[in-house]
Amino acid sequence: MIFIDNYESWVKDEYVEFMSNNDGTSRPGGGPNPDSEEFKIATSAGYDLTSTYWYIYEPHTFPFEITIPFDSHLDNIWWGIKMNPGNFMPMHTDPHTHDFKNCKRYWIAMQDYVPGHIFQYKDEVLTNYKKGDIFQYPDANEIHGACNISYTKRLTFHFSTFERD
Amino acid sequence: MHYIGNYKSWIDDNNIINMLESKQGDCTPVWQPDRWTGNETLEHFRELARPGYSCNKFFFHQLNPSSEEMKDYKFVYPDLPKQRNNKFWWFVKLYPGEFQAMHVDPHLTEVENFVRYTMFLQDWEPGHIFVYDDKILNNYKAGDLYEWNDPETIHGPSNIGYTPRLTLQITLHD
Repeated sequence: MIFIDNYESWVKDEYVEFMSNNDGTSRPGGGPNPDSEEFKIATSAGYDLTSTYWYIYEPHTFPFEITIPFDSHLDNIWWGIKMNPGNFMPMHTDPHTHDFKNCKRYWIAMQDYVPGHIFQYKDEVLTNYKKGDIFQYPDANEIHGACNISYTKRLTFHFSTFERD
Repeated sequence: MHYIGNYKSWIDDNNIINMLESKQGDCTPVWQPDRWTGNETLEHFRELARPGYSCNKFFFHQLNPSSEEMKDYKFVYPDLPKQRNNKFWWFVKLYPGEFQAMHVDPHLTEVENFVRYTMFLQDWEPGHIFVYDDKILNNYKAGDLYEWNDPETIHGPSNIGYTPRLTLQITLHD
């Protein structure tokens, strides 16, 4: 992962408080999933795609006007993720990064690192990050996943920039 | 934890992978409050775990000498660099989506002169995760053996990959 910079001032207390106290949309069980090969592989490996493995916050479920920390002049999408203790997100690639032109994918820590808060990108795991640290995926299409085997909620934010065809 | 050496030949000679693939393992709850008593550290972790894990919906799998599936199994210890009067082994089999919450080992808090080993039984795969203290172990090879020295090292494994994650755990003590 490529460390961009620390944007702690972008991480508003009200974002963290809202995510901590409200569950967002349950995923993958709380909505339709892509009819993709990856989801079929996940199912065959034993994952139950009707379960709640994490919660997502998107523009229609997050009650704040969000401007991404940089490159906001570019087309972009953003979302937040909450993982309660025991939640996880199996290794996967993001469908949208395959579809969008010149897509750049970013990861924002909403908290300081806690042992048991795990984010894995390819063969790399992020540790000892600070609240507001932003990392870019070296390859937006690369495999990644996350889990929370700690005792506290794990909060992250994400955005991608891209060019419209 | 420190690296001891590679024991891939022990895995192959004892047909460990085929043996483990043929067995389901004992379904074990992540939340085991009865085991987390007896000293300040364990009780601290029990209370930490209660809000998130006491719903009893999280499980992992293991195989040990008491497992029904292992009753006729003759375990052959690898040639370890240290010896003690007592020894105990168990395999941990984490199916995709399984984990153990960060914890310290209850059975090590009251024994003397212990040695704790972990052997990884497969080459590392993305999604096969092992955390200890604030470190994460990646890119190990099948047969890599590590020794622990601190009974109160907080640690936890997780599997967000697509194949079962297999490890051998050994404890020696006087």
